[in-house]
Amino acid sequence: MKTNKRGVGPTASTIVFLVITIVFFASMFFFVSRAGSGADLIEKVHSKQIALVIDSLRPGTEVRFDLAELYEAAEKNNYKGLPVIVNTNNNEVTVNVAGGEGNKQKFFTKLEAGSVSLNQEEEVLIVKS
Amino acid sequence: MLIKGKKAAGEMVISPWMILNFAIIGIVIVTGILIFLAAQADVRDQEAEILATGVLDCLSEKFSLTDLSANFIFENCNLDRKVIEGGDYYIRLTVSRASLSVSEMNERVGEPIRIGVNWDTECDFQEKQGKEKNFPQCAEKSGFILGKDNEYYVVEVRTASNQR
Repeated sequence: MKTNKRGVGPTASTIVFLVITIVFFASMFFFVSRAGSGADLIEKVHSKQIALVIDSLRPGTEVRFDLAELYEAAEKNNYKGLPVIVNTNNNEVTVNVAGGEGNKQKFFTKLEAGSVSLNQEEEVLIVKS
Repeated sequence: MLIKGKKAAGEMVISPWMILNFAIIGIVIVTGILIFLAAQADVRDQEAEILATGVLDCLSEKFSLTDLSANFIFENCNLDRKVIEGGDYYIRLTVSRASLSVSEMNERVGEPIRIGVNWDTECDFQEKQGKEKNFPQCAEKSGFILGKDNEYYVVEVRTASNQR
């Protein structure tokens, strides 16, 4: 490694080069390993499934989603937050099993506030239409 | 040490080429993975089908020719206006007075009602040429509906979804 004039350490450009290289490859590694672990796919598939089922609900019906797979994936990724959030104001389902932003999916059916509940003990999401 | 643009032996210099290389590698990896994931979970077809079925079901119960409008659909069909008009969906309603005679054509009533982004061109194209992944996915449903005026109408619902 090239040292500065006094010969006691690396030059500034070498340090910057190394920092940029390390940051780039670390972020690529994080992104690919996250995709490889299936977290992205699980989040995407579940958010779309939940949104589709909500859109298919007839008025006066109730549906229960088994979230065991999501809790398992969240545990595997050391994620302690809620794996599913259904926002009835924005009409948006967010599934998150690995931290970060998770996957968001819109649904077009209007839901009343309080029509969605998450039972964490039973790992079940209940949606009433 | 840099002397007149030349680097000393062993010194690592950040150049535009290095940044460009990193950018190209990053974009290729990220795009490849995102395309793979998107292909695994494309449900636009199903969304369009569900939307068309929902609108037709709702109209079969509440159809009133005089009241029919975009507002009527939002107020009676349990659809969220912000989401539907947010740019990812399209609904087109075409109403005809049903002819009870085989020799007569159904008589179109008024202009079609359009809600959301108009994707008629894309839907027509796919109807003739087959599914095209880069276009919004469309669905069509139609049904005979008895209106509040005791007349029969043919209601055609075309929907499209482009939510990825």
